[in-house]
Amino acid sequence: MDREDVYFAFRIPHDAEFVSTCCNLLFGERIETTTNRTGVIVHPRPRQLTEDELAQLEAVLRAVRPFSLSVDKTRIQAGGTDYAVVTVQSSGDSVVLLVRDTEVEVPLIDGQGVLEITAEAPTIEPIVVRAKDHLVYGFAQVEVEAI
Amino acid sequence: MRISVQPTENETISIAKRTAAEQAQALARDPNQAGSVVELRRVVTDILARLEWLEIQVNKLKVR
Repeated sequence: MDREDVYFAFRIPHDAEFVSTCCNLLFGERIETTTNRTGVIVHPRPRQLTEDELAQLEAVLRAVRPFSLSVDKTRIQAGGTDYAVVTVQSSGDSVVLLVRDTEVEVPLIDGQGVLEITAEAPTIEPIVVRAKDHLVYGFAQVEVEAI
Repeated sequence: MRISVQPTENETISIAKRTAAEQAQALARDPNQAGSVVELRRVVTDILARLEWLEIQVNKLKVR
């Protein structure tokens, strides 16, 4: 490690890209980071985070949860009958997803929840499904289009 | 659980325009209406008026 590297000795269920993106959201700068089996290393590039920033980042990282999204098909027939099945895996009793800008709370059973997506009309912009709280669940998303 | 995604404003306008184009094409293909330029013009004018109204409503929503 470099002399100014900062090491958080706990694991997170996301990769270094997630940590860098968190830094960008929190501090307006993508900080170079490394994750491994034992913890997170925050490098002093392009700049060293302050003590307050490091404390804030540590609090965020300690709160993150595992999260994954998958969808059985990315194209459905418009009209409200055909549907795509989005499967979400995380921890806790439920997770709030954003379907476009609509919040949908999906209950989790044994860490897994299912959401069926239908569309009344053909889409121009894809229907993007992602977690509402990026800093907790990360930035994974799936897209569905209706034809 | 299931969620039905409603069209965006852009999609609503696009659907209306597509429907208008399909109606105009169907009218042009209909042998009973072929040559009825007056009827075609009436339908197109009506559709354009509806589209204009729809876009005004959408703009009002955007202002809100």
